[in-house]
Amino acid sequence: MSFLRRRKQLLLVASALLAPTVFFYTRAHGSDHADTVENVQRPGADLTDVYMFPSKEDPNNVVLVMNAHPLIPAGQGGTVSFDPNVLYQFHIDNTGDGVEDMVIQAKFTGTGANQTVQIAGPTKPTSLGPVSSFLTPHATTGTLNQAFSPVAGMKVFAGPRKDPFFFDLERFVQILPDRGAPAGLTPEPSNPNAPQKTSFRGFPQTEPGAGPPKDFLANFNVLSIVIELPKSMLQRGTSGA
Amino acid sequence: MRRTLPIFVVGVLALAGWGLKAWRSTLASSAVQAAAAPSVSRAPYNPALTHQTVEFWAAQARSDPQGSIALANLSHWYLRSYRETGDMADVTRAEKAARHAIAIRPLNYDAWADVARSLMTQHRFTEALVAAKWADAINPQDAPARPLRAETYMELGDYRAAHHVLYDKPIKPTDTNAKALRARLWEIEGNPAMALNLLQQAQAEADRNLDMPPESVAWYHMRVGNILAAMGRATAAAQAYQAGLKLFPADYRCMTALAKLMAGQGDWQGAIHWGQQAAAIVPTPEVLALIGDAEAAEGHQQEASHQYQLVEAIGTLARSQGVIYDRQRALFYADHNRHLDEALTLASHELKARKDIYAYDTYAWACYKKGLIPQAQAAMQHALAHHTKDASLYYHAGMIAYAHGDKITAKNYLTQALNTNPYFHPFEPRQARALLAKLG
Repeated sequence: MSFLRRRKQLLLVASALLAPTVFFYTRAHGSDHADTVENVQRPGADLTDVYMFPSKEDPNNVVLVMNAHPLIPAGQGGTVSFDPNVLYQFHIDNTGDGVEDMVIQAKFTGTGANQTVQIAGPTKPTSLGPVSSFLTPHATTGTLNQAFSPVAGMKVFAGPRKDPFFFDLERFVQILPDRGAPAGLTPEPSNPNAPQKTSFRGFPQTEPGAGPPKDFLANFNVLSIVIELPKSMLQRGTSGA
Repeated sequence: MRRTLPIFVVGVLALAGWGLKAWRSTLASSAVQAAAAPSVSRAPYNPALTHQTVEFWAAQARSDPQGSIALANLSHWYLRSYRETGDMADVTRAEKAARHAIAIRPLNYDAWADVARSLMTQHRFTEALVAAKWADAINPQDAPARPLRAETYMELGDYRAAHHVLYDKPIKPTDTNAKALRARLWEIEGNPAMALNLLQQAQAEADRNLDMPPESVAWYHMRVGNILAAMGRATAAAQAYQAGLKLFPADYRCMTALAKLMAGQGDWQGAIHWGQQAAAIVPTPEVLALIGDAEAAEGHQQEASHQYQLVEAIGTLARSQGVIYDRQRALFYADHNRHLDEALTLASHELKARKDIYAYDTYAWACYKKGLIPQAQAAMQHALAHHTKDASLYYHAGMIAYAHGDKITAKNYLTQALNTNPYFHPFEPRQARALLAKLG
């Protein structure tokens, strides 16, 4: 299911602009599910959302969240694993040059309910960009669905959680068809590139009978990696834990 | 050595309204570590999961009658259910759900692709090609669309078009589907070594993808086994089939392949064992005939006769449910000198539906059994036109040449058959050896 290609393109463009020019006090909204064929075939490597926000419990802490493996049907979270062949990484730029200065890595071993996770970092990466190798992990290994502390001050949770994104996807693809119109084939739909709908459901201007908006993702889970740690561990001048 | 492939996804989201100037952004990535990564055991196959997921998507579709995405996914899962159980009703359900999705949103690549897959499974190849072209035209960038078209061309026997589609653009290393289809083309074009190499690459990639359904991974093992078997490498082929069964224990295709392999080697008890296992899941005419042949070889004529009757009953029953076993039935009738008129009719139907080399071969074999030797020869020329190294084709060609009085050609083809794969059939290799002995 690769229905979000257009949104993916938009999101990437937006992200590229946001990163260098918008510093703080700004929220970036977005989510991306099953956006390429490769990701559809390998959902364990498909990141849907990344969040970063201050901890509610401790103002000195920051929380990083990475969600992967979209579209896990409700009730099936226990049947899905993080991909042990994937290295999950947060890249952190604390100097504003758009280049990561630190990484936090999560690496999983095994599959199913017995899957374990090791955390490395925050620490300086040995190489920049998309090619990376797993750095020396902290000694403490965690298991799925149980918060643990790989190193003093840091708390980690990894496991299935409800997909936090809200999106009337069915309506969206009727407003913005995400596919090109084929030429020379019959039966040709009449004006196939024209939006079938002009507004989301639940808005005053929406046509009668459209009904309320529907959150397509309401019944789906994702696999979450949640890390809470002191802000000081990520600030400039630190070399991480 | 650990190696990483390029990042699959990069997302940049940060700065949620709190002021710490130092943190400009976070960037998250997932990099797939491939090749040398240690093998990880998969979660065991859970037969209930597919059913649960079908129910889930059906409920999703019901919850939003204006939606098309859930319907396309429902179609996709019906097809997966069919592959796991052989229940043809799932294929018609898949087609219905996908067409419903298209009615709601015409430019729906996923739904068109599933319509094409459904139609292909129903042997409605010409209609499948139209649907595959739609899928390809709607979304020419996506990798699966082109292999889907290529697969349809191959079923229709248009290998040139299939070649063009498959080689028009480079394929990604992770595109196991395109690799498998290229391998199939190499096999047809008489290069099984190249086919095996490509398929083993695809299988290794499938093995690494823990998110690929067990049934799909098992399919790659089965295809590797099929090529090994066709090359006469029976032990390696059996290992490949066993590996497939380990991944997907209900794989009736691997069981059938094992039954065939063992029957070819004269291991009649083994053939009966695996044949019965397969028939308990999906009783295809092919596997029932194999059991019958093995029973006959063991001297159990009554049981053999029972299995042969089942072949006929299942064949007829299946057709009424939309399952097309015309080719298997025609070959069974021809191999066993039964209902030869019907064999010819079935083979003719097959040739009208698709003109691949095996449709020509089946028609040639039915003609031969009916004594229509010139027609058999003409059809066999089409079957051999691509220089496919297939022992069954060579055997049929040899027998037809002998019937025509061309002893030298017959000898050549029969020798080729046995050299290519001495285990290609339960009893035909023995007949080939007998005729070769007679020819001197």
